[in-house]
Amino acid sequence: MRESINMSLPSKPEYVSVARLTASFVANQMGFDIETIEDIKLAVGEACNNAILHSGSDETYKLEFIKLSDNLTIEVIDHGKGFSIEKYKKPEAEELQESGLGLFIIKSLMDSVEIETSEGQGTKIIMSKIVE
Amino acid sequence: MSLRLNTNYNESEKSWEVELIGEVDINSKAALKDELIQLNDKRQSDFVFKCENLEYIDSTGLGVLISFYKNVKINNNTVHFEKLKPSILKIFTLTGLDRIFSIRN
Repeated sequence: MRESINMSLPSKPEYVSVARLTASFVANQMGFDIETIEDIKLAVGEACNNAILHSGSDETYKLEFIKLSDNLTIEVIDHGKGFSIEKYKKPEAEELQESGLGLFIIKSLMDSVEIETSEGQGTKIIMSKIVE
Repeated sequence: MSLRLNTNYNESEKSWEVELIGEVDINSKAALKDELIQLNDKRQSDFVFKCENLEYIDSTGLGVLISFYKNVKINNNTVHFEKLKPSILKIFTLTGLDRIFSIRN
């Protein structure tokens, strides 16, 4: 079984909740427990935030929710400015970092996360969660 | 759902009480930031965030709270969080903010 849901959203904060609601709906449909649904919703929200913050002049970004029998994979793709993954480091709470927390949260909450990005080329975040 | 705020100055506790209702995210963070700065300009004191009805917070919302905390700390005031839902407390713990903010559940 493989089904996928595709969306294209304007790169604007007011539409992120559409992606989050879709994430909740799909995760619920696949039988994830409530705590995991919250985790997936937040990870999707953070990936959308990332797409918007790095969107540059690009007016939209894309999401794909891929339902497999034992796994939910979500891809968030923007064609914005991208960023240098080498320069990214895990924020230290003691330093009270205000940025960089988003990726850290995504990596903490999802089972696997891949990030394809380079400066000027946009960003693709592929994350998945296994159905227990 | 978006964010709704109830604010009140508690004279006996000498602190601002801010009830967060709904979602603190990329869409509502600017409104929250403006409101907090206004309150702190009106009267510099401790802040108590009532989170019983806070349903969602993301890294941009946490960013607003972190920078606001830095402002408040300059005047030797503190920031407290009350009654966080388990899903929200999890994010505070994950990001290490539970060691920076005072959390009363």
